[in-house]
Amino acid sequence: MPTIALYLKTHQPFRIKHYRAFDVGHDHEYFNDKGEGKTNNVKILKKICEKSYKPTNKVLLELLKKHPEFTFSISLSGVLLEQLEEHAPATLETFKKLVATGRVEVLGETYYHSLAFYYSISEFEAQVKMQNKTLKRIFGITPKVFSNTELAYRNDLALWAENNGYKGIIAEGWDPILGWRTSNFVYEPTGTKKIKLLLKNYRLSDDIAFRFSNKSWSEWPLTADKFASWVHDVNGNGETVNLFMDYETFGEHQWEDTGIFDFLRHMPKEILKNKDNGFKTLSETCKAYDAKDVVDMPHIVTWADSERDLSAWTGNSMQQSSLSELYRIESKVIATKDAKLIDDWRKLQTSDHVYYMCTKWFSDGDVHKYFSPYESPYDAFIAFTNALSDIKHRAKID
Amino acid sequence: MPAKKVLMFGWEYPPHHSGGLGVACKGLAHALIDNEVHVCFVLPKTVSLTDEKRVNIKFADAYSKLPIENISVHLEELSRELQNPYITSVEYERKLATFIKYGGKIIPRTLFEQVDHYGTMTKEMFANGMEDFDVIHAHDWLCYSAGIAAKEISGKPLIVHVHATEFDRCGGNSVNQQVYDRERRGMHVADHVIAVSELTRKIIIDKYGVDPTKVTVVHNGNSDADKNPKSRFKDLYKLREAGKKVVLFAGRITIQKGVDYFVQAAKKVLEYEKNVQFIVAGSGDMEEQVKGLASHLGIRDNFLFTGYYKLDEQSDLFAAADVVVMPSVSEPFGIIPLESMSNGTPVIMSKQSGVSEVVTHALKIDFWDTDEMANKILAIIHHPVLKQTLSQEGLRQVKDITWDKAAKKTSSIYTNFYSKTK
Repeated sequence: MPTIALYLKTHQPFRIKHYRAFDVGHDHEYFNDKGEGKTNNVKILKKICEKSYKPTNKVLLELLKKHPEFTFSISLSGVLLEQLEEHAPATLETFKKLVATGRVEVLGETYYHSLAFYYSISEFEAQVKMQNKTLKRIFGITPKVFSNTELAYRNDLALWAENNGYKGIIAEGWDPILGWRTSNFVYEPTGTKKIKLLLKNYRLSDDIAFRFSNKSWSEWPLTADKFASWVHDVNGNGETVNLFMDYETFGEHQWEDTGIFDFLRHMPKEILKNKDNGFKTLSETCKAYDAKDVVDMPHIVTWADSERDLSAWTGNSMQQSSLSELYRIESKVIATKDAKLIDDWRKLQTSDHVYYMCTKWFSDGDVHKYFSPYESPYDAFIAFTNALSDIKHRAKID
Repeated sequence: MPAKKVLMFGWEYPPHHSGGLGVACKGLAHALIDNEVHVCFVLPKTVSLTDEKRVNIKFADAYSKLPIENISVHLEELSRELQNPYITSVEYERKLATFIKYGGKIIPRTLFEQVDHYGTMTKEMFANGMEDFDVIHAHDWLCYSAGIAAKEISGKPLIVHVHATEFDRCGGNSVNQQVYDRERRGMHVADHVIAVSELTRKIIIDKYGVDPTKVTVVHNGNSDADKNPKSRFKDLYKLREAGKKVVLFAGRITIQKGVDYFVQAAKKVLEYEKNVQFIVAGSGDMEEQVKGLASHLGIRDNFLFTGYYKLDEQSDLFAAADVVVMPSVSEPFGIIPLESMSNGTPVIMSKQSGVSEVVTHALKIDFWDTDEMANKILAIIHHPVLKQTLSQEGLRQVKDITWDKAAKKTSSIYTNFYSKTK
């Protein structure tokens, strides 16, 4: 009798505008593109609110009212919450309404959606603290389960989470790590005592997140009752089905005309048709089931690409150099005590900036995989590096 | 299926060539042979091509009652310039006058007469007996009259290959009507048209009124250039050793190539970074104008003008540069970026170019956006890691941009006609 742990993760970065060498030392606003281009953050935010957040939250709220058994988890990066508060307060209200039902759990993460854990623990902790403060202020909650940026997980992150009071942590349910084991049980991370590890069932998650509208997929069209039958098949070989995906799956990655909202609307009902099935938040899942085994991840595993590694963020030398330069100046930036400067520097830590510099899909024929507001990874690097030069200029760093 | 045979008309052939056209013809001819196509390559004028062992070359003037006369050695350079496929008709008249003044004799006087004469010589060549072939393939308008003549006599299908149009050459100025008319006639008489890029295909359809269904894009490939150990530029890399940043333009100095935009961008770069050497390699009718512009902007000392250079000197130029800029106003294809990438030198290229359709690992700009050109030059000279990534990825990518791909696509176009005529 598996329960479903549905987790919707969302984040929007502060994209850097077309910031040029000549702007260094003069213009300290990197994120304020007001034009028609793809780095106008306000414009993008408003579009995503209309296409995804608002219609998704409407359906989710209806489902919570209709099915007392329905419950799920979400997370919103601090930089997204900041943008929602300023430019889309009405949409933020819809998130608040969800959380106010008491049946929607909010997870912890870094405020800036950064990879700081792997570069600077002090910086990482500062960002987690900021996020917790923001969640308390907006939603009145304190997170119990930790979700790192891009699910970038390693044993020592689990130990950190345990030492900092988290009951659970999540990661990718990646076959080379699991071997014969399945993601449909709760596990214990190597080197920890109490914290539980929840692993994404990437097959069933990706059926919705990636394959839903793919007409060449043999299972297309995916209906709610078909999906419920697949979940039911887990019976006997698992206790939880962890469906982790981007919030934007609904309405942005899968457009409304694919029928994705109808699918969401009917999915809980179909799952609950079988009395053995149910829904749990991630905390409830951690509490309900014992860890079946110890899972060891000494190297970073993410939920990205076929490699499930950080290569999309750190694969080439532009990315590596950007990250090392960014964290090299940490102490000097912090020492300025200039709140605006520190905030701008932290906004550059958002993982999207280095992701836009990824060159591995940028050859012939593969360019469609390059999701970026920039024309090329090189343009992304130039805008970032110029902005970082200006940060150094402001902090008087050579 | 029996092997395909193509009768190909060109205007120039390496090493006797002035630009990309000859290089492209040779690259394609060799790759077609590798793909089991028989190539008979015709040139208008007899030249020594002893190094060319693979392609069967015919010289049309060898069959003519009115061959282009032999000329003395010191006039050879001028003669070659007169045959330059990129020459403007005004420049042609000026050079021809000098040529005749120094005793050069040439039977057809104007470029148009020469082009027409190529058609006449083709007819004479056929009268002497011609080996069997399946299709005719003529490169650029200079060879259309020859191609049309061959089609009229043999009844075989004609494919014209557009490497450039008059709209590219004039760089936004008024087009030469005589050239346009000849281009248009060739494209319309042809059974099929090959364009070197989507950009060129669009011009062919929009400006020459050609039926879109008979125009196919075949992108050029990259050719491995020879290296001359005695190149004038073999020590140029020492500029970088001396701490200079080196920014290179290589190509003809004409309105089409946008060199004036390069100079404007240099001005902007120098406001932020003093220690930069700009090199303009090549010659052309705008050379004095470009030098004048650099002087006017007060940056003449930061510029080095090399004058005309030979293809085998090019790799030393690239090796000396931190970045190569191709600011073309309109570039049907543009092989400079590929040659630069093969040398591991990053490229900033105009988006108004065919090559930008196949290259992703380069920086791209609108030719008129000199601020952005300067921004990108500064980025490369300030951030070695950007240069390094572009260099590595560029080398990897250029290996995939081959004449073999171009030949396979061309060969499949032949096949369409081959099956129809057999």
